[in-house]
Amino acid sequence: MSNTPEISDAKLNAAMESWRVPAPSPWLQARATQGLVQSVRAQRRTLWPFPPMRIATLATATAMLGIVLGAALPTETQFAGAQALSAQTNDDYADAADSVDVLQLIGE
Amino acid sequence: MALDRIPQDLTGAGAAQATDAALIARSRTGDAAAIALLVERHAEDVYRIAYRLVGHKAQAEDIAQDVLMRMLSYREGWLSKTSFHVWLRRAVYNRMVDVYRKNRPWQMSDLDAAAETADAMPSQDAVMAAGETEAGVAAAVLALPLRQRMAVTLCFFEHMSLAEAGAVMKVSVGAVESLLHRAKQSLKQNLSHLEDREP
Repeated sequence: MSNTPEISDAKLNAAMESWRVPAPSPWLQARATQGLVQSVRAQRRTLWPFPPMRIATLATATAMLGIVLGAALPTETQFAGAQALSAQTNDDYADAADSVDVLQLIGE
Repeated sequence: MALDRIPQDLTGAGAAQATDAALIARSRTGDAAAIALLVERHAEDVYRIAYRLVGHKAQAEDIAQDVLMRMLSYREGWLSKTSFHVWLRRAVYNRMVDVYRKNRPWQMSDLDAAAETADAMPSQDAVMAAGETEAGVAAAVLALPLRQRMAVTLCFFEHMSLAEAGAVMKVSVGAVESLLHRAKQSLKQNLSHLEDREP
């Protein structure tokens, strides 16, 4: 162990402050940004292969198919279904029971 | 995390208003402007901490690049209350531990024990020969064990509180204090030749 006296707190602090960090290379930010953009886009392609426009088209087509199928159902079924839904919404149990009877008749 | 809280225009005032969490959410959608802003905000901090830990520009840049590439994996929720500020600094520390483990596998049976072992204690002569105070300080700090070096970097160079440094290193405030105390003793010994110099 050296016999040299320890450096004082004030001198240690001053010496520590003298250690400067050199500026990073200018390409660091550009490279990190480019890498992240590529990584995110690649990840998104892997998770969902369809671009947003195709998702919108798919959603529209599904909705239109639902409308067409709904219109194609027999009127009685639509009526009974609507009544049952209405009864549930309004807590009208008597109407709901009737609607269920109608549905059962149609089923038979 | 509401994306609509992020200004559409990420230049000028819009950039300043956007929070990190909001930028991360938007970056995950592949928004290049949000990613660029996020990198611009944090690249220097990450690089600076990495440099204090390795003392080598190219290595610090490599570590910074790795950490920045992982930025979007940050998730804040009810399970994790860690702020992005703390999380990012912890990512640098964890990356350093990985580097340490890779380079010194024979000592990694117990990370804590290994981290308490100095990398290469510079002799007094070597520090004296370094001449410049700056080089001497760099050599003395880099000779500290990894955990002490991290504590000094966070508390002294980055001006973080003991609690924040503890959160980054996942240790108690008392442990950070202990690390700083031991680091200070080592630094005082290794830089004792500076006592004779004029401030």
